[in-house]
Amino acid sequence: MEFLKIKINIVIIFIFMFMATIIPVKADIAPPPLTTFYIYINKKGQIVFPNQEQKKAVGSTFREIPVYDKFYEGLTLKRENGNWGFIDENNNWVIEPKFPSIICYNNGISNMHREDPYCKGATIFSEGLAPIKYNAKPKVRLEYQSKEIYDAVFDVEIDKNAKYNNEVYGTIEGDKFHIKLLTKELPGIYYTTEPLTVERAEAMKKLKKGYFYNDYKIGYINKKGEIVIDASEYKEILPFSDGVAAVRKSIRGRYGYIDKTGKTIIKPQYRSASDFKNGIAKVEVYAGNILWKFSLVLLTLIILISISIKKDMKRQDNENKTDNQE
Amino acid sequence: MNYLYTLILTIIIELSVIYLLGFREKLLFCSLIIINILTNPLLNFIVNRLNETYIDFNFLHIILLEILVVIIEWLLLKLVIKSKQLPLFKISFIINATSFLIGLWL
Repeated sequence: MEFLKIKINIVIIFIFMFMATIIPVKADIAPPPLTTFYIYINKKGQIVFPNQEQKKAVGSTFREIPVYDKFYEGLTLKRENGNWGFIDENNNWVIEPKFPSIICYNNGISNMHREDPYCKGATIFSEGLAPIKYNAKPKVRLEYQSKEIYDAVFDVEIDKNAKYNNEVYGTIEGDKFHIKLLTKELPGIYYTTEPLTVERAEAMKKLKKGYFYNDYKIGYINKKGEIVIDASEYKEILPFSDGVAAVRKSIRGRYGYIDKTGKTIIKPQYRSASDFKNGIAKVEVYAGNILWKFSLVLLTLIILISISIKKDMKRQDNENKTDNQE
Repeated sequence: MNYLYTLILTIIIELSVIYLLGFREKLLFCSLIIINILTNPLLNFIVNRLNETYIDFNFLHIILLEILVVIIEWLLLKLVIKSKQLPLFKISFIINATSFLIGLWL
């Protein structure tokens, strides 16, 4: 009878496991590391315990907003002559195309320098504001023996169609530094206008390669196209919801929240962060101390059970010896 | 390959723990290897699958799955080794807890 019970339990467990394996996979969701937890917070950064409806309203921490061909607050992005602007549903320009780049994310991962058709995510109007890149300055960052030479960053005159990060090679000619883009899409030679110092020239002689990139400022624009919040201190900014927006200072940094004045209301501390809905947001926190405490508890349990097993074995040995003597 | 590496590492850890505890029963060692071959890749597969499927999947769920593994291994050990003298549940707990703890920090 007992054997039958065990058998039934095993069958139930295997049915559960089988069910778990046949659940359809959403491959576009970046798996979180196992040492993080999801919690819900209010605008003071305090942990809250929402009900199921509130949880549903908040949704996931991963942002999946298609940027192209979708209207947000009556506006959508459009590109003309290499610059981005916003049009209304009648195809009229509401914000003239003057922004060289938009902000996009894929699967929660920031692609600040990429503009591809798969771009989802940040440059949309929400609560009257849209995150955007502005004030672009094309620059070249040079590498010397695999180390970046930060003082050898030059402003370059660049083709307007240039839009990707491209690997470049350089040579020195007089006091000008030639940069040749190696991609097929953007051939051409670009010249720096900045004169070379002796030290720089020495470094340049051994120069192997460098990177072309656009140096941007980022911030929020209103529906007149005016920069209303300068968020240059951040590397990644998300649209506003409930009066606050998630931001982080580096691509691998932690998320915090700012309000509509640009003031930090929750310090950067979260691995991922959702929009606020009805005063609640879902955030991913690092286990940190919890992991240590858990490990300590587990280790203590292991030691205690080991001692108990050893005691059991000794007792059984003694019992066996007594039996043998008898 | 990842599954194989995890499996081999788990078997090494679990057998070492059993040996250090003073057990020398060949049947126990063999059963543990076979049980691990059955359960370990399956657990890793489920963890990976759930990890891809659920955004909410986290550390707590891993712990629950590990508890499930402890129970399954205990039941399988009970089926194979019909000895009432061996503390099979404790053995199952201790070997899985140790490999889990090591795995957490690797």
